[in-house]
Amino acid sequence: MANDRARAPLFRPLDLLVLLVVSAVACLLLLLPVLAGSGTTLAVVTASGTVHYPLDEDRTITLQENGYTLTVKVEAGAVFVCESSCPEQICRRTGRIHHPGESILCSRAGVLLRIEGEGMYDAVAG
Amino acid sequence: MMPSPVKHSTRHLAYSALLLALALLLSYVESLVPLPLALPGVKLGLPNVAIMFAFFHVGCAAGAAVSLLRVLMVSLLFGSAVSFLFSAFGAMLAFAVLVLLSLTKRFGRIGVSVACAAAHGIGQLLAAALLYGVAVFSYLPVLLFAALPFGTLCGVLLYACETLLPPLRFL
Repeated sequence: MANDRARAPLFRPLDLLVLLVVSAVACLLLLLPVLAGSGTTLAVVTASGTVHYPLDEDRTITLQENGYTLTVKVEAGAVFVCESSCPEQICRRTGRIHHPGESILCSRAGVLLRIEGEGMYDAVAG
Repeated sequence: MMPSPVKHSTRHLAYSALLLALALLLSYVESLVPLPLALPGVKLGLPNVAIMFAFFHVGCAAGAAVSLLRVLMVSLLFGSAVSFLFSAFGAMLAFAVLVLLSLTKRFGRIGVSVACAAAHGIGQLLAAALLYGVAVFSYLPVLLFAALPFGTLCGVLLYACETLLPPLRFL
């Protein structure tokens, strides 16, 4: 009968395990996108086609299009044009882009730099 | 610790009904408590105190009844079909964890309560994943981190109730 009160202590050593597992899973889930690489890529769209580069490796890309030379750098997950031979320098002044959907356009050279991928969280309220 | 087998005495019915009313009231009370961070799906989980009390002191069936009927009533009174689905999944998973952990007899009130709170969050996201896709699990760390302090709080409250209140009497 439930008359003999089911008495359990407030805290047992195994409770620590519960706390640790819950926090470890939470931390792991937070770190997972970072560890696995975000899966986002830099798409370089030119008249000759589209080339994709992963964002998690630093690199320098030199593009020669329409008689202009662009130096594009991928650095720490961000993309920017560090040098361009065009007169306006709009692409260079666009600055760094790093989120999917952002882009840098150089219309003179006919080059579009766009970051593609998922990783944009859609929060759902419940 | 072991919940008593299913009983059909009038007192069991009365205690179950009393705890269901209490769980319902606590659902309302926790909606009045302002949390420093208003995150969707993050609540104190006060009804879980009544559910765990019913489970441990009236019986397994009473705990299940209080848990599921509370979800149904809260959704009818304050919620929507979607909130019912989320809560029902959360409540069922939390109750399954409650039964499993109490069977081992190796966990204290805090451990059981935190595990239930975490399971409730996971259950809610399972329901959300059915509707919106698995991307919703990116929200799981928030619910799990919230389960630590709030689950602990409910475990402490449960222990306080058990210690301070006179034991339930059954004929």
